[in-house]
Amino acid sequence: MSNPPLSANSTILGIESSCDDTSAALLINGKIAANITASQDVHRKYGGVVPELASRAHQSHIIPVIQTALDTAGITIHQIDAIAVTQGPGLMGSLIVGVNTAKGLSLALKKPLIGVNHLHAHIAALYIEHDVVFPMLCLLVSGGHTQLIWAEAPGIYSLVGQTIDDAVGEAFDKGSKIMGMGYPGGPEIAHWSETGNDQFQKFPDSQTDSLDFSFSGIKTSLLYFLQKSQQRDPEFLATHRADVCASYQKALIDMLLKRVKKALKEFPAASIGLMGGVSANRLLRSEFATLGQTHQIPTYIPSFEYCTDNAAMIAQAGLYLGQQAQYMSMGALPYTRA
Amino acid sequence: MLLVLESSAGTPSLCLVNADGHIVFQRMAEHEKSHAECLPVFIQEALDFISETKGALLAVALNEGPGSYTGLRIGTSLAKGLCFGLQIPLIAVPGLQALGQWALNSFPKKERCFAMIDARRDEVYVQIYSRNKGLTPVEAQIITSGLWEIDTDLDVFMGNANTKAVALLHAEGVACEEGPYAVQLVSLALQKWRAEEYVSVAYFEPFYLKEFQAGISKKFSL
Repeated sequence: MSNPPLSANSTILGIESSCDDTSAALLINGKIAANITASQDVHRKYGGVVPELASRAHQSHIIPVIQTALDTAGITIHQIDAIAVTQGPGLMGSLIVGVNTAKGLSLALKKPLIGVNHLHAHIAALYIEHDVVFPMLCLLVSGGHTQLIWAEAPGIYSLVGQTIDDAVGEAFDKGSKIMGMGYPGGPEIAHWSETGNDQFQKFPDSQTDSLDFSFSGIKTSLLYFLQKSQQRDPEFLATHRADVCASYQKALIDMLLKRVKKALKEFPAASIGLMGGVSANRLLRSEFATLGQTHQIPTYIPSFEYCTDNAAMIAQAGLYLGQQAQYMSMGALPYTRA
Repeated sequence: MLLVLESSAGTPSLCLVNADGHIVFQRMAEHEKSHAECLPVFIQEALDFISETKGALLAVALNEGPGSYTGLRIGTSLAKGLCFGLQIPLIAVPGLQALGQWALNSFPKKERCFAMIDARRDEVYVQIYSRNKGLTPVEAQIITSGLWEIDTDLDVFMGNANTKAVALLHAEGVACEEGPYAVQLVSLALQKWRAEEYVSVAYFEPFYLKEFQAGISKKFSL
């Protein structure tokens, strides 16, 4: 028997486990009633996410996180109408935990299951707080993805540009690692940048045609610049860390915004949106907002809690799919790539 | 009814056991490594069967490991979702012990069972179950010629590493039984169900046996 479409006031349990955050959220009557995330500190010492450790941590976090979300929302598991879960892209071992827990719950409760594309969910994070005007040009920036997406309506998206190598989040992480700083690199570099001179060093932009990005060159450029500078003065990085961070961060953000400006000339956007983990970067948020003001179009940027991986955005994206009765079968598999 | 799940090795399977201990429903995948697509569908069919026979699912038992990390993860996640949704208890069955118990019950003339799960190359996860000495600890063992003295009259190999073990130990002629399958877990699962030996639905983790060792990359550093 096929399940009917969901109504707009349905109660949806969202589950996210695509990388190293285990998250559960409840969307009740169009509002996020709970959004609980357990992060995994275990990866910090390795300078990046270790997939096997992430999978094991998801396994021990997932039920307590769901229970905490239910308690926060003040409902029981039997009051939900559907379960939305990240189906991909992401790390396979991590996705397996979320998807199969969701399948088990769906079978137990006899409630429909919705498989959500994680990247589409980052766009849906905007719908939690904004009545978005379409068409919208989206800049999706995270540890694993850097994309320009043309959004004509909720769920109707086309890719217009993307990175041809590293994601911008990786560029932050690797830059931080080169400078002997912690993981994740974005917050570390942003912190040091606050007191630095962003004109201290010019890093080259990549020469990509079209609207694609490339971040592998700037990372190598940073490494060579520091190696040379340290040879001249072993105290160079200790003395100029803030300046190097500020210059590197500014160069990465300029590379992002240059493509957005170029895309705005080609696409008649009624609004622009910024989303993904790197959208928590304060300088990027501010410069992106300025860009919207310059073009006199609305700019949408999620609150910090909806920038990084979270289940609220999964529940929100799940609502749109559920309203069209686009459900996931029990035999459907998670996927690692979009 | 008790649902018994096996997902620790190549071929996933499940069965339903009624209160009298009889297996009333069973499913086994036709293809190896098809856990993610087969097990949820099999569970759906098992729940439909329970509904048609006006029964109730009272507990879920699963092979806790050791075995394939991915397989264990799929089985554990499904079992947790089911148990949390239905508010029923979860039973963790030590897989190798269950295989040993099943083999010695099934072959009354055998004295000792080598329950083994393939752990790649020449390694196995092994537990030896003998009638007079009981169980050895579960360990990861690289099999070398002469590691164990095999008595082809009294020993039985059980699991999914039999061909490899026979070749490496030069134990041609020893009795071999393939597994693990859900039906082989039933005896120990029932004992635990009747003794109400449950594990935490929230915090249970599979028995991986090995601690995961990750290296720290030196790439991208000054």
